[in-house]
Amino acid sequence: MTDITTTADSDDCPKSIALVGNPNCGKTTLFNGLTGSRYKVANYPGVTVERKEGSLTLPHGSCAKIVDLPGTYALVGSSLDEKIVTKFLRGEIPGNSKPDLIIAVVDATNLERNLFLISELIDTEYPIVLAINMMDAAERASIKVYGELLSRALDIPVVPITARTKSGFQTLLSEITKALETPTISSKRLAWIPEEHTLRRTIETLSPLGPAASDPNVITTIGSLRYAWIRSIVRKTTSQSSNDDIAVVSPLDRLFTSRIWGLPIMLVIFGLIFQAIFLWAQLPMEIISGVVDSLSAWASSTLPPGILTSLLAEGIIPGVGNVIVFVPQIAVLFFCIGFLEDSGYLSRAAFLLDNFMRRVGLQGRAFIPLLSSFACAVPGILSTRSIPTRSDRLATIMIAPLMSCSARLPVYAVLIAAFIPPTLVGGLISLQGLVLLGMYLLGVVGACGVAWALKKCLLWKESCFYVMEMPPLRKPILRIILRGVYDSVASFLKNATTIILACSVIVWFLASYPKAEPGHQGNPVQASYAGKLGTAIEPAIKPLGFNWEIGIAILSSFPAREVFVTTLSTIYNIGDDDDEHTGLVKTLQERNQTGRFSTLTALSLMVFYVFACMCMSTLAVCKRETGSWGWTLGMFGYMTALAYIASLAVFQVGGLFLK
Amino acid sequence: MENTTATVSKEERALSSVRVGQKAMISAIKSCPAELLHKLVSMGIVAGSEVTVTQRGFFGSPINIHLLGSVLSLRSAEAAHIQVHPL
Repeated sequence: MTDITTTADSDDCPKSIALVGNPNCGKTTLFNGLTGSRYKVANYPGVTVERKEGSLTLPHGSCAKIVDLPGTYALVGSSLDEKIVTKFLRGEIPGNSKPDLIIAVVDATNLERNLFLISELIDTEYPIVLAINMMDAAERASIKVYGELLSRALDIPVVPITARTKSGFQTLLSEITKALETPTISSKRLAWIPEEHTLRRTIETLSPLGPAASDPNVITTIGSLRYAWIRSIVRKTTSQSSNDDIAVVSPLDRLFTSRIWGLPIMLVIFGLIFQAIFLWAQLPMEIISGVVDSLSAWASSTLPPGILTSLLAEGIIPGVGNVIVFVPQIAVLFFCIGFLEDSGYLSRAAFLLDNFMRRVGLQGRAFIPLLSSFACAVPGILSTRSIPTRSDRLATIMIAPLMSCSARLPVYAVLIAAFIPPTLVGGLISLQGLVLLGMYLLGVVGACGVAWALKKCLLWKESCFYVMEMPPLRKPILRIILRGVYDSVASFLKNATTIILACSVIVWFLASYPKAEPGHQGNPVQASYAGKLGTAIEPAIKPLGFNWEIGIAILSSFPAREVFVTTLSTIYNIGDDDDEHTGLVKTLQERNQTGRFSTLTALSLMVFYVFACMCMSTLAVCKRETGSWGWTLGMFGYMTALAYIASLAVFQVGGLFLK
Repeated sequence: MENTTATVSKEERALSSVRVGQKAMISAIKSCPAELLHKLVSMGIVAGSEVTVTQRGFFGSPINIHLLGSVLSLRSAEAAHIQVHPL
């Protein structure tokens, strides 16, 4: 162990360091080790790429700011994450100056591929300290890396380390200090291209951080020359006693990716995850809503009646509750994903699913976020972080809320119980179950269509290659998984609270003001702004088969869909003596018989809820994850439009048949 | 550079049509968009590299290849740009 401590604010440090390396090279483990796991997570301005910054104290007491850049294979990155690295090194990211030093990290067991980026970094003429990570794994694979030889060949300081056990950190820190005090630039710039090569002069005039070559011949020639140079260096500076170059796929890996067993195993694993977020998170969620309910009841009964009490009891407390209630699901889901990601299984699942997901323009890794969205779109959208390409990630975020989440279930349940007869179809399946299944399928079909259209029309310009490295299967580390859970819960609480709370207060205001006149007949909601709005939109929703009562219920359920049931109950003045659900079902059936609420209206309403974005938490998380109001409003807009059109079609077309 | 290793042979074919377990040497990357080409090249897919196909998904995609000591996964559409000589 080393005595690395961190200072409170990295912005006060005079020097800054960038951490650069391939994905899966252990860069983040090194970053956590250097900063003592105390770091700030934010997004790069305007994009969804996560930015981690911390500070480290150097042996002589001064500190340095250290930024963990996204993993990349080359300075000519294709994905948004990778482009960030080049922009950062060019000093083009607002609020970030050029770093004083690069700590380049390579995986000792995968040296050739890792050194490609290093050879590009050397061309940039930045001072570099090279950390050869995973020396323990290399030792196990009988690979020897001679640091001094490599240091001479590349003309940069080289330190062998093992980030997981923090071995070699002391030497690394003293090399960092030396490099910050007297920065030196490697003499090996362009060493990979012979002086007499025809491309030499062209390449000398190009900036290594400038626009990439576009001529295929130039690209392949540069690549071949770099790899040839690297190969000659690796040959001279490493030795390998066993012949590891034989492609061996472990039996477990073979099983996971098997065409026969792969899918069943995956279905069991994903089924367990779905079960976990649906059921295991249920109890803590119920406890949280229970506590929130009793808190607001306590507030309204103990505090003197007035605007402030009402604001507290009906606006702020439920608003905060609305945020905290998601924490169990997010924590459980991120624990599962962290486990699968760190063990390397997620890449196997992506391998199995890619062929199916590709057909709608998505990729294999979109599956878990979409599956989680059947429980709740909020953790679902957060979990799209495991999708490496931006366009795939955006498309997945945009369709995640079309998966019928658990909050729609109460709406479906009440309407199906009231309007769909429990007859058996073909003597086997109940019609009620079929309609429920139909609603779920409708959402999935809609999602496929939207994803396809998005990729065709909006995101087609963005490259989306599937090409990626399969990390080896290994035992996951609990500490890393828990840290991931903590990070995602913390960032959700920090970023979503403001928006969700603000929306809760606004909705509370609209539903409570102006107050009903004394002696007002019917529900007080009717007199409020929300009620007036519901009445005002009646002409617009009439073609869908909805009256003003449904209009109010829809508007009031904007914060969360399940509120629909509560609002409809209060509007119909269902007494407290009845259970909300059965009472509402009874009332709806009576209204159906008297012709005031047709079955077609109920169907149209269910279809509306399949597509409508009646969830402000989803919108808040969408804003947080896309970093853009455009995408957020786009999501709300397209879902509302889709809901309107689909309901209109159901009511109008259905009306023709039922007449 | 690819000209030095790409001796024209009847056997040359796309990586996407190589069966599991087969070892092959990359001879060229053809008609590939620049961005994908940069990516492939940076990951070590250059003429002269040896690859072994380790796994294939349903309907042959994605295709996993062993290269430079680790496994890469790519779609068959992407692998179709890569010309190889089976070894």
